[in-house]
Amino acid sequence: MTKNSKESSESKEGEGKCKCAEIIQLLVDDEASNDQIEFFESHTEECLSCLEEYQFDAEFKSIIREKVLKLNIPNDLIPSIKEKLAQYV
Amino acid sequence: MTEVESFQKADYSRKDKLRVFDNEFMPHVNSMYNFAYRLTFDEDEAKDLVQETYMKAYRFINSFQTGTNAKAWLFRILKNSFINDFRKKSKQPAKVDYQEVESYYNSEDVDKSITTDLRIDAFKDMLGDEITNALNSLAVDFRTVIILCDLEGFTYEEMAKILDIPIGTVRSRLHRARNLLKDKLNSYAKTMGYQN
Repeated sequence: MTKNSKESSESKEGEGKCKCAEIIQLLVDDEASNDQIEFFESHTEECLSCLEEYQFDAEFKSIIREKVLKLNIPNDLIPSIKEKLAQYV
Repeated sequence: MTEVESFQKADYSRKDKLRVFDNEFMPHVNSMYNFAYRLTFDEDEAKDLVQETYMKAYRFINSFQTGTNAKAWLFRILKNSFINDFRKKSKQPAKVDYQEVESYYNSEDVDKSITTDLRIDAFKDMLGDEITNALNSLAVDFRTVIILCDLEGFTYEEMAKILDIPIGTVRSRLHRARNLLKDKLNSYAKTMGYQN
């Protein structure tokens, strides 16, 4: 790679990175627009670090969703709601 | 807009009210209890908070439009009840003031402090207890956005309505909350030897 083409590639990667930080979160949360998706897909053809960041964040979200413990509701909760409702109605 | 206000009020019969209550509200009781517990960290308070939310939901049921998002509507009532009533009388020690936390973490330093050597495998190896404890240790407002988005699957728009904040604030608060959680888990992983 010549010096000029290397500089150009780094500059492109740097510009994309700022925009990507925002887009990565939107993609992970399924909130990105079609334009943003298109931009990211095109950008990550050249920028591995943004692709890896996206993959990390998507996996992190899924780990949180799967691993955070879910509590069972107390046995008396639904009956007590029904009882209070019956008193109110 | 108040928690129960909407553009057009329904006019349900008593029978319809009970049908809406049973079919649209009660299926969310598990999520409601989990949210209430993660706000209060007390089983009795969580139960009271859920009961109070359901009673308010019934009382103001004419403000609920059938077919709209009942879960988001209920979460909004629960969150407001927590702020208005339970937070004041909570057995929990006083929480850190959100503005204080947010202004601290809004500084540039927080992003710089997030380590760059995070390894996803270290998080995968962690137990549910360890990840749950890290989430629970976040300040309530950061914890809440992660619960709403990552555990309950609400959209940014729904979260903005539940929390009464602009969508931009939802986005930035979520970004910072996740960075804080990554940072906590990364420190923990290093301490416990998950990362070499």
